[in-house]
Amino acid sequence: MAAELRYFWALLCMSFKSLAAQRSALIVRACLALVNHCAYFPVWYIIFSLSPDIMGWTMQHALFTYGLCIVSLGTVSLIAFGLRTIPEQIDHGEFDAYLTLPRPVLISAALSSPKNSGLGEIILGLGLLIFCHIHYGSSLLFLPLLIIIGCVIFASSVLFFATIGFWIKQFYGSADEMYFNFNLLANRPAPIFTGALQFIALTFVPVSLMARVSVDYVMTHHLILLVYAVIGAVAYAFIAVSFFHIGLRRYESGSRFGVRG
Amino acid sequence: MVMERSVIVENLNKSFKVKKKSGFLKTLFTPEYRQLQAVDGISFHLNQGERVAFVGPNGAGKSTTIKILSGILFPDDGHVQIDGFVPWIDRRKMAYRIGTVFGQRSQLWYHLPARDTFELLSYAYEMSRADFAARMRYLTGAFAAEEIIEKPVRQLSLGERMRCEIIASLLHRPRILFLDEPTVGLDVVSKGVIRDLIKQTSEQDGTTVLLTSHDTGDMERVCDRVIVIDHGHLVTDRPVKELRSGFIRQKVMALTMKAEHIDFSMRNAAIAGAEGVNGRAVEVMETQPYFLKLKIDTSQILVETVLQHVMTQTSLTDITIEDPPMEDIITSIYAQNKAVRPTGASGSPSPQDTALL
Repeated sequence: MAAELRYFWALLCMSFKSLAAQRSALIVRACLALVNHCAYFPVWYIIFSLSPDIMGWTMQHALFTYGLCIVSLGTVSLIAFGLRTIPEQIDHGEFDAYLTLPRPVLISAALSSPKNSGLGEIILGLGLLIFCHIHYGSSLLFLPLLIIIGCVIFASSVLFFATIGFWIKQFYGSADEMYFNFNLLANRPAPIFTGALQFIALTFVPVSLMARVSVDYVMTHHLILLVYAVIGAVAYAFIAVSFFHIGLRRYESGSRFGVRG
Repeated sequence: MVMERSVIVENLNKSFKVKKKSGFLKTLFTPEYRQLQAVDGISFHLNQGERVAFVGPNGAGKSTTIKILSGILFPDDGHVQIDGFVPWIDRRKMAYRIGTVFGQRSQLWYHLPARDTFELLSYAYEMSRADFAARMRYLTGAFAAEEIIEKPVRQLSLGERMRCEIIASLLHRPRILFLDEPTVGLDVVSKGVIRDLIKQTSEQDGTTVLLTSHDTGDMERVCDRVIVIDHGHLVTDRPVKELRSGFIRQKVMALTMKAEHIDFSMRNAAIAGAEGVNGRAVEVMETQPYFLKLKIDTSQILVETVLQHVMTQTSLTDITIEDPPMEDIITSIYAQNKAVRPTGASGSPSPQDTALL
């Protein structure tokens, strides 16, 4: 376990070194991401000026949810962009090199292809969360935990969708759409998920676990919500990792284009 | 002295499930599959420190075999032991004992100097800092790569990159090195450098080398032994030197003559005195004033007989007799194998399939 952690840490340092080597692109992309995300705010401002409470959903909910979602998106993109490129790595047979190392393939695959993306989302997301704290007096006590939950849920969803690439050729475009939509649904107003949709959003496609449950906890301080979010995140991560290993077994069978010699 | 066996392969079989192509809608809803036999009952072994070339045409099953041996793929059937480990069972333990280089894929980080990748690998293989520093100093010195490893990989030439790939694979002192087309795409000079370095490292460290290549130069310059496979079957397994004597039935004879030309048109008639000689025993490859180059089928006629025939017409100022190039030898081995085993046999790869193997 200590060896795995040392390898994980070394890989993380390499990712950041590689990002530092692309720092101009990283900064430009961060600025563009900030502009892109800021475009949402005037729309919300107008909507909530007309109706400050939409079925219990307020400006504070919107900002906190959006902040958590984009911090999660940014963190996963910045640290583990390789998760997003798993279908591409499968198609190009890049797992061969990871399989000959005495370390977990998933860690190598997730951290080995950093891209200059995610910094803008992290900056804006953290800014929003701090703004909510100052403006609305939300507690920051559990904020690191809420961010970790959001990151685990998003990373697991990315891993889950990316794993489909073990069965379907050239899946990276479709997988990208799935990550994008997952994140988009996670920051939509909670009242749109009712009945069966709410059940699905809390179980099979746990978009609500990424931010909504955490925001409900911040608003109501019901500890059971936090417990539910933690258990949900662990369970979803377990399912995604297990699914990945089933896919990896298919890769090792060689019955997948791009894998054969 | 009993040689230690570092690689044991017995009756190895591997087939792939391949989707049949028969119409867009049909394959979408009811896909049909067939089995493609990539490796078909191969057996061989490698002694510690041996350097063996694994040769075969496209689709022969070379890369599939090397991927099974290095733990990337698991087989359908058969027994494999790599330094005492079964690759698909003890993959992570075995990884400490093997090094791999895939010529067409890189394990180096593109935007960073190779030195950083080496450092990362030292953590993967749990090397101590002192051991890593000493080993890197030794390898970069041996490969004359002290400056190369400080440049970002994207700035390296293909030959320089390959040198770094090989250093990366040797960093943890593997006992067995698998090289899949290590000289692919390199120029002649870089090929020579890489070949010499592989051989030198293997001799110094006693590393077993299994190398696949389409380039017979790799085989001749690096390896002691050649295993030829075709359509997943082992065709021959013998020392490189024996391959020449065992399969060569032709000699190329170049003659520099005193006479400007000789009448060789009646050559077959004149030398047909030898019993059983047919019209293809001697072939004129090149003719110029005072020079003649002949290809002689030694299974039909002795070189001496041809030489005597020439010397009845002219004196010679120089003579060289050479084996044909190794490419021709390998081609003749494939041709002989094809004659024994006609294509289209059940489960054999079709020309389309060979692109997949």
